[in-house]
Amino acid sequence: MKTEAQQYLENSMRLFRENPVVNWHEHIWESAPGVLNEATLQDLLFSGERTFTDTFLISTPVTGDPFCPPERFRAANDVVLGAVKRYPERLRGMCFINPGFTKEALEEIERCRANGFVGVKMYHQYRMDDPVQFPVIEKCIELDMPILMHAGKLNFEPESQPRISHGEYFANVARRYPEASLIMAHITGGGDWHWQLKAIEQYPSIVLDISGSVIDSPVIEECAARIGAERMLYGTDGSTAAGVGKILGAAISEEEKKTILAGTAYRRFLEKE
Amino acid sequence: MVIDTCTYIGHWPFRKLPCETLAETAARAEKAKITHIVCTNLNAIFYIDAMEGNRELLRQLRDYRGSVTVLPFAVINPTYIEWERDLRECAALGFAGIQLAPQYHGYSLADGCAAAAYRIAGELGLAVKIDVGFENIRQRSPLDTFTEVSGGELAALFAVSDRPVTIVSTAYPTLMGNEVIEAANRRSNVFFNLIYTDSFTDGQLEDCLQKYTAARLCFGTQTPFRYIEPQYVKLFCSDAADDEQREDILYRNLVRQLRGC
Repeated sequence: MKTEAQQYLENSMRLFRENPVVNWHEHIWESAPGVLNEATLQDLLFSGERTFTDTFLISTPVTGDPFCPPERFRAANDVVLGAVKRYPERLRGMCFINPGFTKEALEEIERCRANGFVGVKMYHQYRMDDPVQFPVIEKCIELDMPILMHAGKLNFEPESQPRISHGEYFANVARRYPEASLIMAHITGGGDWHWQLKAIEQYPSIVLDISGSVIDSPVIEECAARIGAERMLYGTDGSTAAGVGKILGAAISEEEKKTILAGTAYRRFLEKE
Repeated sequence: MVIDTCTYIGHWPFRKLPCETLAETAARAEKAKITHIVCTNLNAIFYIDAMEGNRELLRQLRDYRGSVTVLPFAVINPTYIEWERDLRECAALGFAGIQLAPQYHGYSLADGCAAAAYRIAGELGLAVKIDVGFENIRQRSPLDTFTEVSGGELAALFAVSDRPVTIVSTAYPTLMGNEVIEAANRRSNVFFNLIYTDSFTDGQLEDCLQKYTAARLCFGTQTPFRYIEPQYVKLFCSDAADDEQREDILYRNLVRQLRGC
């Protein structure tokens, strides 16, 4: 017999059960360069089943190597490609590159695009507004691909990620390239979300994903009020309970929740061949 | 029945919380089918005399007409004048427990003053709650403290007395160090809530169940700092805990341990 609490959650989960759910920020990982860690893929698929997720946008960023040479990001993307081929109904690829290798990065974006990848994913090898990013951004505009960029405003030990992009750097890019489709990653990934939200508020070409372990109330309400649900994408980035729960718990309308879960503004990127 | 071991009323100086009154905090709990809340007044942490905040909580409790059972916890600052008298008064006033906030009151749980407060709370039948941190450390206001309660401090406190029912809140329970795990497992009345774990990520909940067993875990939400629903998602949407373990965590471990349950 179900407890009242369990029944409450089941009733709340109707939102996920009955509506399209696109998770724009998830990962699978390698056990060695170019070798899929199968458990990370199976865990992801399991979490998707339990939370009624239709589509995952996945990448394998190389997080432990600030230099990340081309052979490493190519191998990482091959891991994603292999997984997408196995589960084409559930998974779509995001192409990870290090923009420091301009020629190879642009070639890799082309290769991934030809293999059906939806967008480009970058880590904090470089700041978002570093000129080294410009050719990559221009390539993404040319190919009509969104850029999902690791982001945060760290108030504690900022030296741990000296090139992490906070909202002001996104705003700089949005001013220079208003036609670029920019996703500021994990507004709730740890870091000053007030700062992040305020920094991008006036730049409609920047959307954010709600992934991350932080479940501060009322972050979702604040985002919806200040930039609108149409500029918010659902995501989890490894924190499934947090991602699902903060949508369920937010005091916004059901229509706004559906907009976020469906990623309405970014649907067109998924519908292209 | 669901016992939430971590809720607050009052004002948080570093960001605007979605509610500040007992009626509002309890209403959030009630909507989510939580039947009992451990509740502390944040103002009591920041007022120079914590007792002013503790009395505020009692006044709001007197006026509360909702269906949630509120277990009031008083903030005790054992570095402040006449703290022991405050502690005894809180027991007489009907508080279910006390909360220590060493990171804001400038002491360590390994200090003698903390040990004394802990021992006396146990003698008075009061539970003791400790929040390892209040906000995610990466996003704290620069005006806030970046000090968190350490595993070593907790282990030292657990060794002072076996008597107080002890709730450790907002910890990453398995990352506090073996010293804490061993010290907690030597006791039958030390409990960690799971606010910071995520059942689908790296097996965190499974890890807690393995290292502490369900008998040492409890439910908490940190309302109104955080949303309630993620806590249910981790318990009910994954297979990390079975039905028996869920019941233990949600209420069974604490129902006979806390005054007022």
